[in-house]
Amino acid sequence: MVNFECRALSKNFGHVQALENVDIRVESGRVVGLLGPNGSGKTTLIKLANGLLTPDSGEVLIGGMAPGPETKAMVSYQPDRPYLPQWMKARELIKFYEDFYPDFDTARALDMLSRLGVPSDRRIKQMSKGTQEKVQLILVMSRRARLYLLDEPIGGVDPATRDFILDTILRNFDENASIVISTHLISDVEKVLDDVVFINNGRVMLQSSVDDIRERNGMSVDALFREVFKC
Amino acid sequence: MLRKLLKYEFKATGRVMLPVLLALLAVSGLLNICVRVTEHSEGTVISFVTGMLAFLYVMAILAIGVVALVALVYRFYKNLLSDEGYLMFTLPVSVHSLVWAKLITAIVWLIAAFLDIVLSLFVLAAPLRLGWGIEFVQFIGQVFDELAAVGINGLEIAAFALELLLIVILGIIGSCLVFYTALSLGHSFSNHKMLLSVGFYFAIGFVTQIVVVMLLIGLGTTLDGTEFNYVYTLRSALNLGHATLLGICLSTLLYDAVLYFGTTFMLKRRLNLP
Amino acid sequence: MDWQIRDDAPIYSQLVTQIKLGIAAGALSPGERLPSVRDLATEAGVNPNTMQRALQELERQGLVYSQRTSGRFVTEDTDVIENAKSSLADEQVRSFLDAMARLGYLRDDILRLLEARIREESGNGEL
Repeated sequence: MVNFECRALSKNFGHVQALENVDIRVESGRVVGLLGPNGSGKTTLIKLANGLLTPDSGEVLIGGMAPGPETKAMVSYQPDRPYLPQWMKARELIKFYEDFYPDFDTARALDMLSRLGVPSDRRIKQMSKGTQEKVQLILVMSRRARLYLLDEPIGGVDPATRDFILDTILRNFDENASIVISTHLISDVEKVLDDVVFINNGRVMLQSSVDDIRERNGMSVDALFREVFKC
Repeated sequence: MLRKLLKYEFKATGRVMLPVLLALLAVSGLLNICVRVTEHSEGTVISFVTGMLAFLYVMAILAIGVVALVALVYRFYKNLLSDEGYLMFTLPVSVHSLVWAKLITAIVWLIAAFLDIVLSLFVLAAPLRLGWGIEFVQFIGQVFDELAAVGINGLEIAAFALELLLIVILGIIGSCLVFYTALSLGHSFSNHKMLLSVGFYFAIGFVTQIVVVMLLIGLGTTLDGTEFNYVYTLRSALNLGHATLLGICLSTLLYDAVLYFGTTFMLKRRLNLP
Repeated sequence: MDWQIRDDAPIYSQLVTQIKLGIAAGALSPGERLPSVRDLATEAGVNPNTMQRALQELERQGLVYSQRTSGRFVTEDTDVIENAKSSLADEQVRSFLDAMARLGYLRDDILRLLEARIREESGNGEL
């Protein structure tokens, strides 16, 4: 089953071509790394999949459907920026997610909150940046979604939390779901990925499984990435 | 889903609106007490405080509508067009629900602000004497009786009241939607989002005025050309009144519909979060 | 088990080697039931699909077998385990010889160095 697909997808902002003729297929059960330097179009691609942008041409499909309220119920999205209302408490946000997403697992969220030591009655405003990111990830990973779209999920957290997050992803991930992780910190996530998509200047440069890359090139994806995107 | 959205909308806006509305009541209550104290004493401090409170009260009444409007427009921007938009636009709800949630809360709070002003007048006049209420009811009854005597019955008055209420509500919706449309137009660009929004706000106002003037000129010339055998009777005057009010209702409704379509179109197809 | 993933080879083949090593060295005893794919994957910090592929490869080589309902087990066939052990040892020797050859040592020098080393270690053992 294909959970996420882009067909000849293009998007530009004024004169800037953010994505050009992108074709990607993500099957269920796969963890895919969307890898590329800053400004390569990763965030634009993920925003298109969430219906936060409208394609100029081509299409984005989630479970075979164009983005809309139905697909949003299937997608769990972690934006690359703090997006939670500052005045709300962690506990209130859990209730909020529970209210809007039928697939939200409140028990799991509360468990993760306590295991990561986040006080549930503290407002987002009063939390450090790292703690805010933890809350975001807890909310996103506590859903039993069909497609997880994680935009730079481990950018600002400490190594212990990063390990916890990757562990959570591996442990809770259901075989009918797919995960797309956009990042430039490849070595940290390489081991949990099935496939990678290299993207640069809005174009897909390479789409392959991690083990194929290692077999063919005799080097890690991280090393290959450094070679391909050498400055 | 709209109900859930409304729940959070009232929670979020209530944090600002409730204190504002309560503050007005508090000021009028304090003013009431101070006025009573000055009636019995001659202290300069107390009369200064009373003067300040009276000034504050008048300012608060003048400002409360503006404060409410600003708070509600800011809420639209903050919740849908800034970073929080990433949360709201990925909820499994339609853009229509998102906009209606904002509109309904705005209408409710603006009406609440109006009622709050009325209530504050009562607080200012407290303790109320039962006699005043009786006198007021009697006065209204008298007005109704006199109107009935010239042939305007209660149904007629109710119809007028309803038409006026409709115009007020449609007007509130319209004034909110102008801001919403301007903000969603301005924020569809990648840069200078706020500056462009302000520009679009004035542009919409300008276009609206031109359209209204042209319509009025059109109406005038049409009426000018037609032969009227208008016999002035009470009935015809009332009908003209209804026709005018309904005409205003319809055109406001049309205006609201255009802006609503504009807002939802921009948010659906041209969303461009920062 | 201690999982070490290097950069220069496919992850699944490294998992195969490491599990094989565990079986050969007796960390996983014959007939022992293996943890589930998901648990093994979480333990190694790798993707479950990759772990699945590694286990399938081990199954193909006869080192583990699966029973439809009760999971995967280490083989009870000691010949197969012995074979795996000797092929791992063979691999170690070959890569050692390769490395020495790259350093420019000839067969006799290598033997001499090895003997010296072994003598030294057993000497230390006696102390």
